[in-house]
Amino acid sequence: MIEINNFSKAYGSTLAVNDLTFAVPSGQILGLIGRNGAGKTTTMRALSGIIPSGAGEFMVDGFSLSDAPLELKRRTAYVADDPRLFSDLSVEQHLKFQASVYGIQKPADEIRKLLELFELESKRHSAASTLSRGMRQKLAICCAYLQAPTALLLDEPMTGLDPHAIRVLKDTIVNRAAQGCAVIISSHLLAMVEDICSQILILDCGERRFWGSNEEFKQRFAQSENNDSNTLEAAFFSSLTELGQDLASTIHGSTGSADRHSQNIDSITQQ
Amino acid sequence: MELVFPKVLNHLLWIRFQGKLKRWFGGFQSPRRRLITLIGTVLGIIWVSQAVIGILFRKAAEHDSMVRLSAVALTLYVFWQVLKTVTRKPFEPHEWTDAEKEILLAAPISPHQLVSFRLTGLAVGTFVKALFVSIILLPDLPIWPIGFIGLFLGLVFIEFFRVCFELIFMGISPRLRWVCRGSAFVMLLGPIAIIWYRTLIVMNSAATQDLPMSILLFKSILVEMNAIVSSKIGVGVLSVMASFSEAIFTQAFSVAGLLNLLKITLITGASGALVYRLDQWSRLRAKQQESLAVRKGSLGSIGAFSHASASMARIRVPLRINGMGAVAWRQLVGAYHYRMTLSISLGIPAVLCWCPLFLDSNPEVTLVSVVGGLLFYSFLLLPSALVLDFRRDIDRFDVLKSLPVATIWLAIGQLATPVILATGFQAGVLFVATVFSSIIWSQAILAGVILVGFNLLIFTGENLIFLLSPYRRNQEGLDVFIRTVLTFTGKGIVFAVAVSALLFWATLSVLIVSSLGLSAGWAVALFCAGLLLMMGTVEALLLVGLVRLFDRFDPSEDCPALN
Repeated sequence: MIEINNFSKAYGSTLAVNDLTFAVPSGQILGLIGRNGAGKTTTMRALSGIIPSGAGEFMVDGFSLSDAPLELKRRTAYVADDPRLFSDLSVEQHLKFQASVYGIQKPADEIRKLLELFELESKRHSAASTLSRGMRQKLAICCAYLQAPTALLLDEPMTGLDPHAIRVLKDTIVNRAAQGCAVIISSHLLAMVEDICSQILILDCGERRFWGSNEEFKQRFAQSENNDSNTLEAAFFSSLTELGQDLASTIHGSTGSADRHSQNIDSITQQ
Repeated sequence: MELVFPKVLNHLLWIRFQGKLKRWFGGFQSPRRRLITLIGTVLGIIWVSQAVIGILFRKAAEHDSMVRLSAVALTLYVFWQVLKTVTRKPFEPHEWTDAEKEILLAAPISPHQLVSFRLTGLAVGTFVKALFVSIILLPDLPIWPIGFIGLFLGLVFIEFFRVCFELIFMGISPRLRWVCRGSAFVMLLGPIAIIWYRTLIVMNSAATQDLPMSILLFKSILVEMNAIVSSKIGVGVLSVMASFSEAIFTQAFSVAGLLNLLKITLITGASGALVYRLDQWSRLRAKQQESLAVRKGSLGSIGAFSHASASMARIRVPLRINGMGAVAWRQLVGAYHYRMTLSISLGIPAVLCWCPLFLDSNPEVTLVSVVGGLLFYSFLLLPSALVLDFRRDIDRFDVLKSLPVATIWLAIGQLATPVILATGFQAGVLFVATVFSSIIWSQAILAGVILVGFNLLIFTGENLIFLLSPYRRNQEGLDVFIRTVLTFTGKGIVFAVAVSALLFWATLSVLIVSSLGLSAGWAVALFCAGLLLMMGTVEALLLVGLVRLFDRFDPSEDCPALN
């Protein structure tokens, strides 16, 4: 289970995420949706311990990032939108490195299975630096799967993947969730999110705008606009009107909100 | 008609300059970076002021020797460029950055215009270099403007020569490339071997034994270099750069001087024109070689490792050892890929460290000379040669920070490879020195143990500085200047403090032992024990600092922007 409580993060004088709270129970898949710069990647990077979190608490399976960072990291796998691989290592060496660092016992079979599943067998001894964008993405996903995480964080995981790999990835995400893994997927591919996510979280300008089930989201927004098409995409575009009004009032209308933002930046900076 | 230099490229050069300035000011944003930039700037101003004062108050050097020495220096710079080219992989004559590759090369700009853009960029960079050097040489330049022009043309010629040579090197067959590599090493090592041989003969002669060894060595090298430079071959090799050198130190306006200036301008212009021709030629050659390889069917699958590398991949999963083992193994694999470059980087200092073996000295003096050489090279060269730690992982901090490995173990794992390689290099040098001389084995082993501690200190310090002011390799600009000033000052202070502490502790050890009425051997033991304790304490402090810095490091904010 993933829990994020009152997370805020500032970059200089810019508040990237403001007081974000949500949870993803084991077996659930959460779709993280929002515009570019909404704070999606920041949230995932902070949860995986990459960037120091300004304020707030992160928990995975009851282990807190501040109190038991290694236990949390051992259970968490993060696949970045543009994975940074070790250029000197081959595909197989990457997986061996991952197996060693995460203490995976006898990983040979699992490595073989993953390489076959993502069609990386022929690239087994190829240097990571020579892989195409899609193959690097596949390798990063293999590395994440190898560590058998209980919290899986995927940032734009479909980028560069071929149709076969997209299908494999979708199936495997669902399977992992069925086995008890809590998954967060950040993506702009709303059809894919609708397909596999059970929960939706809409972020805008670092603020949580909606958190609930896929159906709730569709009910609330698609019906409010009398939209005939009952898809997540239609609901999302309908929701933009409401979110846009909220945003406008945050920036221009209410000074109270602006004050709240600057107070938050100050409190994060102090921490 | 196609413009040689389209407006868009001109604009690009300008906005990139503005971007560099903006990035430098951006360095003042976070409190830590602000403090470091401020210290670096203040130190930089002090260093530059000191240099300016030194320049203004110093006497002009003798004209003839300046002409000769500058010709030698410029020729050595040409050799350095040749050596760099033949050892570099992959060949990148124009050194395009990733952004340039993706935007400029895909833009509707002709290859000719791109070459113009690159040559202008080189000339602009060289202009600043020439300006600095000409200011340093102010008292020696009889007519400063001509001296500056001569210097600028000389440095631009060398840059254009480098690009020409790289283009030729890229265009020739792999077999010819190996011939070029061999020739470059013979040309480099031949004169060095001759100079050393003759120097050692002079140094071993009875008449000069009473001079201090370092002064004698330096003096003898200069004498032998002068002899080679004055020989017919030397004069021939230096002849091209001698024209530039004469222009730099032109004493009066004369027809001969102006003709020489015209000559070097033409040489530089011709080398620039040659770049255009060679660029066209090398692209054509690359196409031909590729189609030939396709016809022969000699191309392997994309990105497949060589057989040797594939055998590396068969190694079993590395030992975890709290995560440290895997991290260190990853750096060792990197070292394996750079084994040739590393061998060259370590081979030359090793040969230089063995030079005292040719002198007829007692074992202690030989050991001190060899270890002194090792310390010197380890302090100066090894940190730049063995960049197999945090310094090469600037783009992978995301991965490192997300690993379930305690920072202390991660730091030790990252430091392990350079320390192991440096220790292996030093142990090898000491082993050979002990086998081929009368150095006592126990003393050599003790020196080796102390050197391990020294290596730990050096690489931890280097990484600490890196995390304080992170940079990308091949980065240029004001922030690089500030970092260099900081590093240089920091290292100087550390070296001075370390030497003082060593002298103090050596004296104290002797005093303590003599006051207790023990034999001299106890003083050595006490000194070594204290030294190791001191090193251990400093290392622990540095390591704690490194761990804290890494923990606080925010890849989103602290990583420098891409070039």
